[in-house]
Amino acid sequence: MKTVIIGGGIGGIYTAYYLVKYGYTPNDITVIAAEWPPYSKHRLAEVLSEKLSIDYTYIGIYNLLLDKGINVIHGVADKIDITEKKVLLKGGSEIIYDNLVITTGGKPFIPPIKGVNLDNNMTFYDIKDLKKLMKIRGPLRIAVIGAGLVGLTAASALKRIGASVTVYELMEDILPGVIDKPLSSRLKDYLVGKGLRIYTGTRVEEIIGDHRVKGVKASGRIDPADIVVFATGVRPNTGLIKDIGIETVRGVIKIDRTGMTSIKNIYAAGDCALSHDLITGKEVYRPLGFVAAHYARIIARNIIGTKKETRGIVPTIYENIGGAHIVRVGLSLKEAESLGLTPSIRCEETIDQISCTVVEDGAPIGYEAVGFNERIRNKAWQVYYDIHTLYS
Amino acid sequence: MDKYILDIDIEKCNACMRCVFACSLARSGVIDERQAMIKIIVEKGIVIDIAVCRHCDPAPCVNVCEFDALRVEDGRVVLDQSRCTTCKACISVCPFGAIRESYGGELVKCDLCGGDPACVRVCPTGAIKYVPAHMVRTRRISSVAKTIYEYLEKIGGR
Repeated sequence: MKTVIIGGGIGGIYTAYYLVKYGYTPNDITVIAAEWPPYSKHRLAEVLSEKLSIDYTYIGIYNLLLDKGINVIHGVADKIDITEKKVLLKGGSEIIYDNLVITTGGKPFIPPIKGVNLDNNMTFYDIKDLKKLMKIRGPLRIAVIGAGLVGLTAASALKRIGASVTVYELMEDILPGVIDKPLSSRLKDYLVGKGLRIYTGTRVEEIIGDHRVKGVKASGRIDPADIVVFATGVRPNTGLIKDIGIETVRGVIKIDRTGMTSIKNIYAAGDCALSHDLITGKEVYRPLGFVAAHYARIIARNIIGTKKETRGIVPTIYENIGGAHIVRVGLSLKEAESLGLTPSIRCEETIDQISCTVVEDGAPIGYEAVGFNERIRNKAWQVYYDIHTLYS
Repeated sequence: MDKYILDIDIEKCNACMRCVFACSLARSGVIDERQAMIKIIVEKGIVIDIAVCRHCDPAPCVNVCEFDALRVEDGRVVLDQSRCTTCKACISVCPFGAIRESYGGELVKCDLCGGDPACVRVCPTGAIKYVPAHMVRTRRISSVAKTIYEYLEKIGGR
C-alpha cells in the first residue's frame, strides 16, 4: 500500500509523521513538496524582528522523517489521474498511489484594487516574503493592509526593525473574527500607544506609484509608503483538483469526519480543506496550522485502518502582539453568530486585562482575553474543558 | 517511585532571581531571562506568582497539542522541540502561564532538569521545593490542577 502526500506543509508532513508513528512502513510514504525543508509560518514574524537565521523557521521533524526513510520528491504535482490512481509531476514523471492525501495548503488573497501589481507590493505569507523583508535597511514606510493576526504580528515585527508602519483595516475593529469589540478596542488603543498607526473602518482604494509603490490611497486620503504588505486572508490552493470530481464548496475541499474527500481513498487536510466545528458540528474554513495537524492525525489513523472520526475542532489561539497577550478559545461572538447561534457575551475588565466569555443557552462556548501585563490571568483552560464536556 | 514536582510558595519568594538565572544557565549556558523556563511575576513591588510548569497530569497543554510535541513522561510534562510548530495553542490553555516564547518563536517550558532542578538548588528561601507530587496536591497547589483532573475524568481524556 503506497500513500502519496501532495504538499510539504504542516498537513503533509504531520500526516507522514502520524503514519510513521502508527506503524505504517515509512518507505511506502512519498511526500511531494514544492518547498523543503518544511517551516512554520508562526515563526516568520519572530525571525524577522529578532534578525535570526531562516533556519529557526524549520520544523524539526523533517529530519526524523527522512531518517525513518520516507520519500520526498522536490517538485510540483501537475495532475491527478483518479482512474489510474497516479499523480503526474511537472517535468513528466508519475507516481502510483493507493491512498492519496491532498495537503496543497493555501495562497494569500490579494484584493483586486488598482496598483497591486506595482513593485514592492508583497504579502507576509512564506519564506520568500520573509527573505524580502529581511533585506530591508533604513527607516522605510510600510503599509500593512489587514489587521488580522498575520497583519498585526507583521506590523509589530516591522515596527521593531525600525520601519514606520501604518495598518489599514476594512472592518470597524482590529482582529475581526478573532476577538470581539470590547477587547479589540482596548487592544487597538494599546497598540496605537506603542506607536503603530492603525486605521480601522478604512477601505484601501488604490496603491499609488509608477513602477514602484509610492503611497496608499485609503478613504480619500493618500499616505506615502515604500512597501505595501497585504495580509488580507488566505484562500485554498486547489487548482490541482479542479475537474477531477472531488467535491468542493467555493473552492475548498469538502471532507468527511475521517478526512476523506468525496472520492474514496483520497483525503485532504489543512488550508485547502474544510474542517468541522465541534460546537455547532458545521463545516467551516479555518486555515490554521493546528487544524491541519488535527486532520493529519485522523487521516493517518484511517489509512492504517483503525477507523477514527473527528468530533471537530475547538479553536485555541494565543498570540503576543507588541507585548499584549491575546487568547481565544472556542467561538467568538461574531463567529458564533455567523454559525447560526444566538450568543451573548459577558466581560470583565481591569486596568491590565479584559476577558470575555461567550455564552449560548447559559453554557460557555468561547473565551477571549487580552492582557497587557507580564502575564495573563487566563481562564481559557476552564472554558476549553467546559466545551469538551458539553459538546462531545 | 513517587513522582516529584515543584512546590511553589510565593510568600517565601523575595524575587532574588537566582532561580531564573540558574534555569537559563542550565538550559542554555548563558544568563538570559528569555531563555529561562521560570519567571517571577512582580506587580506593584509584590511577588504575585512564580510562573513555572506544575506538571499537571493530565495536562491541558498535552491535551490541546495536535503536533504530538507535548507528552507526559515519567510524571513530567515534556515539550519536544522537534515536533513543535509554535502554534501556541498550549499557551492559550495553560492555567499557570508556564509556557513561554523564547528566541525565534521557540517555546520553552520546565522539564525539571531531568530530576535535579537548578532553581531548587539555588533558591535561598525555600520558595521552590522539589517534593513528591502527592504532598503538593494534598497541601496547597492547585485547586486548578484538581479541577482539571476532575474535568478530564469526566470527559475521559482525549
